[in-house]
This record gives sequence, structure tokens and C-alpha cells, in this order.
Amino acid sequence: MLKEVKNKLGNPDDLISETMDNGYTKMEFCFFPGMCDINQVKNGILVPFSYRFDPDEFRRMLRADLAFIHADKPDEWASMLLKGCALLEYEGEVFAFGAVRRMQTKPDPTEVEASLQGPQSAYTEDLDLNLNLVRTVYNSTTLSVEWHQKDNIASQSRIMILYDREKANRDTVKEVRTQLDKVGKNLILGAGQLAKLMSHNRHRLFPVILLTERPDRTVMHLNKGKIVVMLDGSRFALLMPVRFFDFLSAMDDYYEPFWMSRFLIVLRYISMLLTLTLPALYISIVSYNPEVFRVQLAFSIDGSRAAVPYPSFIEVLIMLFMIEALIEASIRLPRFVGSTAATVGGLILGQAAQQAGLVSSIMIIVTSVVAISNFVIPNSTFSYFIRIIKYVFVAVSIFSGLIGVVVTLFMLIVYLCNMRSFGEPYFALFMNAKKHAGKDQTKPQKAG
Amino acid sequence: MKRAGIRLLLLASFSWSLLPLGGCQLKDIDKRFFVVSAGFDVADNPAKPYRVTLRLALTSSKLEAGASHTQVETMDAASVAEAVRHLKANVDKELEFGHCREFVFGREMLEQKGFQEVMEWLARRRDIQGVSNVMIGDPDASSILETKPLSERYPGNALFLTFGNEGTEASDTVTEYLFDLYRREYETGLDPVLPVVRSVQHAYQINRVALLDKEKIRLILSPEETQIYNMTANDIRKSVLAMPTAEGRLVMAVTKVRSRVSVADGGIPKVVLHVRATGFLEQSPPRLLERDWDGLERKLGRYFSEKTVELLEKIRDQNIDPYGFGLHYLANHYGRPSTWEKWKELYPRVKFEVRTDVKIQGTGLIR
Repeated sequence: MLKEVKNKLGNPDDLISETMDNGYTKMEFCFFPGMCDINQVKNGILVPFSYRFDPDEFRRMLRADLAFIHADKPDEWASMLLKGCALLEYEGEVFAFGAVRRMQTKPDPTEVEASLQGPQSAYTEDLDLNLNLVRTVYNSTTLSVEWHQKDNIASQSRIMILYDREKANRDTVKEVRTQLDKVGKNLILGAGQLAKLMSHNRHRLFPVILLTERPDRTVMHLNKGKIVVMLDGSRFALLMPVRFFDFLSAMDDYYEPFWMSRFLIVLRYISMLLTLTLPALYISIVSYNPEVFRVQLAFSIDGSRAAVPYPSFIEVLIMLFMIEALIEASIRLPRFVGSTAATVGGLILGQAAQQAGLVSSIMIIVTSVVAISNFVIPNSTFSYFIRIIKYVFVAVSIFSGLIGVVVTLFMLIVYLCNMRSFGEPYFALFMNAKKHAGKDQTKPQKAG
Repeated sequence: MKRAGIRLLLLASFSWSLLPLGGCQLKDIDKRFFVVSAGFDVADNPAKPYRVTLRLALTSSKLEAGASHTQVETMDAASVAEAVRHLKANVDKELEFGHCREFVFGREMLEQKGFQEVMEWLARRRDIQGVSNVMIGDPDASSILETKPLSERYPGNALFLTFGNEGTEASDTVTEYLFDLYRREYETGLDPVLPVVRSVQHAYQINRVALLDKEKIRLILSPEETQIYNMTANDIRKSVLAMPTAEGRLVMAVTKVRSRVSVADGGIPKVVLHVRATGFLEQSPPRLLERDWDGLERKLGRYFSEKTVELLEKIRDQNIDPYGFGLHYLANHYGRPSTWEKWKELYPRVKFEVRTDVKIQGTGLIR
């Protein structure tokens, strides 16, 4: 066995392979010490084989212990080793001992989707622990967990499909499987990448898969009949099919008082609209329709723009470039330098740009509102998409002014109505309430 | 692949069709000259009878009282439209009428030529707002535009704040909007009214109203009459109702006034105007109210009714109808052209009756 395995793996140096002899009998034994928990290997194999060797007991242990799997297919040996098993050949039979080294033992704190009053635990990069988190909260007999086995994925990461057998739409499950099959031979490193590969059309303007790090969000969607795809090694689970409105709901909406959560939802939609259209509105109002402002504002913009040498759209592009660079810089920078970048960029540069007469003072406000409103969007994928679509509006407003912005907004809504997420309408408001009215005994939960 | 091509083509055609949507070309706000008020006068030259005066805002980012700067440009031409076009040659930026909310007609022009031709230009321009204030400049429009009020924070706001309820709520300032003037110009049975503005030492005085027939000024009311007109026709709040008594003058601050017109038919129609005025006594001889509360209310009502009837008869004698009694009559009668002819014939003989219910709420904070 050892020879075969070594040949298959190209004789790696980090593989420990030995033929062990305890004086009575021999055993061929190999494992990757980096992948396996060395304590488990010691207690499970080495101690029974050496200090307390009893041939009968050892044979019985190999047959009966759950950790030992009978591995009689030589093809699978290498991949088992790679997944963190220890292989041993005893009396002509090969067994795999599952001793995967667990890096994580407790759930991570939430980082991307913070919540004030909700659960604070998030997924880890360990699939089994993630499944545990889901099973703990969604303790239901109808929860299906399927291992999506595929050979053509280079990294061979485990992919799990979770759904509620009674609530999920069968066709959608099938659709998700087809899409997963289509992923092809790719090295999948993160959930976002899988989401991108699973989307029907890569050039879509809006995301059709929701990434979340929160078990409570996952469970809520499972309960609504959504399908969850989990990937080993990723802190995020993929939820599908989702709707436009799911991206703008935070889990806190479910935990906070009614009026407050409604207010926050409204605030989020307003912010989204602002961040989407404000730069374009600035251009179109300043350059095409100044009568839209109140007269005081028009005059003060007029006054503050007097020193600005460039047309309004150049001004907007300068400031948008600055703010985008600033956001990008503060994400990539180490955390302790990040705040310095924000100070330099936000305070000093903004103030100086206005004093130097490069941009008007109103533009500084517009830029800050755009940036801050963008951060209000609870889902980072969605906020990225909004950040990009903003430029479509800017481009249109340069040529067509206010009416162009309105028409583009209309076209965007038409586009959204046309979109489908895994066969289900993307822009529908009350999709679940209708579909599951007959099936559900309980009152269907309204999506926020 | 083919579908993608079609999509791309569609997208391209869509975005191409967006291009001409803008209407006007890109022109930054600092390349525009904001007209804050426009005035129309008659000029002496018979070849160029119209004199257009524009007050242009010189903007700055600082706003303080008295710091507003404006530039006044004048041009004579054969028509208003031509005058405005020619005026563009006098200024360095594109004229922008989007924020022009004050249009002043010279008194002389309204007496000689009427306002129809100017109205035509005003009504056709898409950048002129229907909610603009229109008024008469006394003695002419350019003198109003050249006034520089000391309190003005940004160009043109003094005149603008005077009208409506935005700034001061004066009971003898009649507010007339462009859309309403346009309506009154063409409506049967409703005649135009325009406030008269006079410039008084770095300020405006707007306490009279001019009543017009469809073309020219027929009557200019005194400030007292203007207030009565405003109370009965526009239900303006915050007015006063004053009455001399034996012991001194009685002044009631009217906080609420409602008026309703009904036209009673008969051989000669009788116009009944119901007015309900509520308020408190702002100034009165001491212990007057306690003595005879109801009697005082009745007396005030009767006094106001008499005054109003006087005013209505004065207006009627000029054969103008700013209240819209004729429209009211037409609304209540079968709409044949002969009905209107009949009303026109009857109007000079119409009887008026004003019923005023005065409700005194008290004497203010003291008894």
C-alpha cells in the first residue's frame, strides 16, 4: 500500500509513512502530520498497536470503531490522505482513520454582518462546525443535507446543499444542482467565487446569490424554502434563490422593535437610492436643470462653483475617484493604518480640494453622502454592485441630464423585473406568501 | 452569441435614444446668469415699444443681509421675445429664467397696451414657472427692479418673500401667481387682479391691488379696500377689522376668515357673500366686551358688511368681476352663450348682500 500511495502522491516529504513492527506483527502506516490531529492518531492507532497490543482487541477495534473506515479501493487512498485521514494496512486490509485536524473549535464572532441584539456567532472556515451551527438552530427532521460530490473541482473542497424537504421547491433544488455541476474545473477558494461561477450570467448587474456569515439568516431562509450551499473552507454560506429585497434586510430587522426596524428599512432604501443617483443628480441639476434647487441653494452652489475650473462632471469624477480609492485603500490596508488613510483622505484632502477650488463645497457633501449611504447597505456584495451602477447614472447624466437619470432609473427597474434568481422572480415582493400559502400550516414569514 | 449581439444592439440604440433627451446642452450653473426678476414697460420709441428690464443675480457663496449684488439690464425692442434675445448680447453668461419668480408689469404699459402680449411670452416659455409672482410696478417696472432693498440676503428674495406666506403675511398684500393670471385672462366671468408695488426708499410697498378687465387697469383700490378685498376674496388670515366706537377705536385681529358666495336668482340676481371672521380684540376701550359681547360681534359684522358692500358696488360700477360672480352664475345656470350675455347685461344692476358673522374669542391675554 505504501508504495502505491507514494507513487500516486509523488513521494512528498511531508508524508510520514512507516512499516511498524511491535514485535508480534507488522502494520503499514502513513499520514500527513500537517493534516491530522497527532493526538488522535496517537491515541487511536499508536497506543493500541504498541503499548497495549492485543491482536484480538486490535482487530475488533478496526472493525467496530466508527473512526475506522474500510478502504478497499486503492484509487481513493490518496484523496483520503489528502482529506486528513491516516491510512493503515493491517493483515492485508487497508483502513482509513479519520483524524482531521480541526483548526476551529468554536464559532467565529460576526465580522461582516454585525448585529446589535441578534446572535453574535458566525460561520467558521470549517464545514462540520458550520453544519453544527445550522442544525442547532434549525433542529428539524425535514432538513436535508446533501453532499455535492464532484470530481472535476480541482481543490476537491466539500460542498454541501441544505434545504428543507417540505418547503423548498424541487425544481429550484434541481436547478441549483445543475448550476453546481456547471461550475466546471475550477479551483474554488471562497464562497464568493462559487457564487460568481454559479450565476447564470456573469455580467449581471445585481447579485442573485446572497452570501451570509450568519447562521440565523441561513436558518431563516431555510425556513422560507430557500436552498443553502456551503463550502468547506469558507466563512460564508450561499443562499438562493433570493430577491432584491433580501439584500437590504439586516437580521436586526427581526430582533428590533417594529417601528424602529421599519424606520431602518426605509432609511436603507433611501440611502440606496441616494448613493445610486446623487452624483448623477448633482451633474444633471447643476448643468441642466438648476431650477430644481431652491433659489438659495442654486445661488450658493453658483457662488461656490465660481472658482471651479472644470465642468461639473469632471468635478464629480474627481471626487468619486478619490472616495473610491479611499474605500479601497482602507479595506486593503492593515487595520491600524486604515484609520490614518481615512483621516488623510476624508478630512484633509476633502477640505483642501475645496479650498483649492478644485471642487465646490456642495460636492464634498455629495461625496460624503454617497459614501456613507453606501455603507448603510447591509450586504457587501450588493453594495459593490450599487457602487458600480452609480457610474452608469453618472454617464447618462453627463449627456442627458435629469430626464436621462429618470429614464435610466426606469430602465433599471425594468431590468430588475426581468431578472430571475434560480427561476424565481427577483423583484417580487410577496413571492413566498403566495407560493407556500397552501403548504405551510403556520403563517408564512414575511421577508423583509 | 447571436442573442448577446442583439442585446448589445438594443442597449446601444437605447443609450443613443437617450442622447437627445437632455433638451438643452450641458451648461454649468456657473455659466448661467440667474434672472431674479423681470420687468416690462413701454418705451417712447414707436418702433421699439417694449422695454424689458432684467435683474440679474451676482452670486457669492456668502449670504448676509444687504450683501446681495445684482445687475440690471435694459433693452428696448419690438417685442418681449426679441428684447430678451438682444439682451443676451449685453451679458457674459447664458440667461436662466428658471429661478425668476417675479414679473413686474409697468403701470403705464397696463394702462396703454394691456398685458396680453407679455403674457403670451410668459406662458410659452417652458423655463418660466407658473408659480411666479406677477405684479404691477408703480410708476414703472424698471424703478422696482432698480430698487435695492437693504434687507435682501440673496438677490431677489425681498420681493419674493413679501408675497404668499413664505415671509411676511401682510393682509393688504394680494398675491397673484402667473398661472392664476393666465386663467383669469381667459376665463369668462372672472377678471384679473394684480398687486401694485411701489418702491419706497430701499424697500417695497405692496398694499394696493389693481383690478383689471381682460386688458387694462380699471381700478386701483386703496390699502383699506385692498384688505377687505383680500379678506373676502382670498380668505387671508392675520388681518385686522377696525371699527371706530364712541369710546375709541376697536381693533380685532382676525385669525380665521371664511367667505362663501352664493348667487340668488331672480329678476335681477342678488349676490350673497357670507363671511365668517374669527379673532380676538387686539385693542379696544376697556370693559367693552364684557358689557355686550354678542352686540359687539353684531356691530362689527354690520360695519364690515357695509364696507364690503360699498367696495363691491364700486367694483361693479367699473364692470369688472375679480371675485368671479359671473363664473359662479354660469356654474349655476344652463351653459348657453345666451346665459353669459344675460349676465353681462344684468351685472351692472346686480344687488349685493354681505352677511358677516364675527366671532370674538376674547381680548387676548388680558381681560
